[in-house]
Amino acid sequence: MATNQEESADLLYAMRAVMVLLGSGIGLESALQMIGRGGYGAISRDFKEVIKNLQRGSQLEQELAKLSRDASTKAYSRFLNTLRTNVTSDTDLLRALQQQSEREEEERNDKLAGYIEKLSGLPTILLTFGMLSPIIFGIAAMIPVIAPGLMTSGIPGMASVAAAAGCFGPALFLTVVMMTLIGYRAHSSDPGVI
Amino acid sequence: MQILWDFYELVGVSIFLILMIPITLPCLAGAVPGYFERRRRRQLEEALPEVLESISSSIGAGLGLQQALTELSRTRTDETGKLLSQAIERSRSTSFDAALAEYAINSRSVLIQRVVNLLSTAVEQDAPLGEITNSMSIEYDRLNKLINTRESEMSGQSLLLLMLMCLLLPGVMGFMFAVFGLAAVGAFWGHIHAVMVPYLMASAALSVVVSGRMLGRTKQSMWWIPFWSTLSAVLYIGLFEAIQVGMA
Repeated sequence: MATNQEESADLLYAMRAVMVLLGSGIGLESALQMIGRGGYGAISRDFKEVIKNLQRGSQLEQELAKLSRDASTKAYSRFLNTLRTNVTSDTDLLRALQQQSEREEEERNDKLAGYIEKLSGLPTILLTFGMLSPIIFGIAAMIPVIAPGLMTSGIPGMASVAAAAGCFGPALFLTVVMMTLIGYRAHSSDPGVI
Repeated sequence: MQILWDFYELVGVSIFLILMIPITLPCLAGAVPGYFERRRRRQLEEALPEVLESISSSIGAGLGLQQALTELSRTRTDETGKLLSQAIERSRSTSFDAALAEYAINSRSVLIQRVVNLLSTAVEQDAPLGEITNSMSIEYDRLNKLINTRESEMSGQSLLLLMLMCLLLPGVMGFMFAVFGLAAVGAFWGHIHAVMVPYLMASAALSVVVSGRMLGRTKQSMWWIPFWSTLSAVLYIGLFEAIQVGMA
């Protein structure tokens, strides 16, 4: 099954392609066949499967309903439902797709703006972690080097400072793990619209 | 020769750095063509709305698709014109459809391949090409604007991330460790370097991947990992040594 991002990435273009083809007098099945030839990622794969099943004798309406049930995104499911309604009730598909694509385009622009805004603070957050961690743990690690006399001075807590100095490596490793988790946001929040 | 030995001694503080340096040059050789290829592809994609608009007006003036494309290949001097000329030339020995397909493949752009696919279907079905190319021109113009918005907004962030994590972080760390513990007064930092160098290299690698993801080209950015990791580690250790020697 296609992921949310995979479906979103090509949905608008597939929608527009269907619109262009229908608007120029090409039938729905031919339009689906054209999309199924490739170039629209997960949507092409789905439509190729639909055409294959149609050739085996399946009904277009059922195939579209099945795809709509399995769709990961609402927009894709809506698009498939619009196609299905046209097959069953002969609706004005072109107008419906026009409205849907406009809404989809608006959403795409909003999603991209949101993504840009979401990542605006990422470099500074990563730098804060990347710099603070070696400084904080580095101070503990540096004490035996800078002031070796302190370790044997008998001041309470010096033993734990010495132990912390030994944790410098693992602490930095954990920092890298943490930065990876923060940086993963750049991937997870990508709306996949471009 | 002595400089090379000194450099080897400098980078010898970490096995990761010794291993990464030889990988850097071949990876740069992989990264640079990717950069130029992307620029070429974007040039073709940027020209797409204009090309479609020209086709639409030519068809409106009564020309066929082949004639419209021939006219375009004559007037355009950019990469699109070159590819179209090749396609037109090829269509004399093969078919026009095959030449169009070759143009799409040679462009190595998904957008152009989609457009050519759509045009081929429209030609097959005898659809009104003028309308189709006009609506596609508007659509791809909007898409280009969106791609450029992402590029311009994100490239600043992505560059900032690289500068902060690959240059500022090692610079500050190297400076701090060097100033706070001079070898001249008996401080020894060997064990710190063995931890700091892999840490800085890992941070740089992570930053490169994240900045690449921000721009939507993670795979291409991976070629730059050895370069930035090495630069980050060499900057740290170089600055550290320079301060130690300078203040001794």
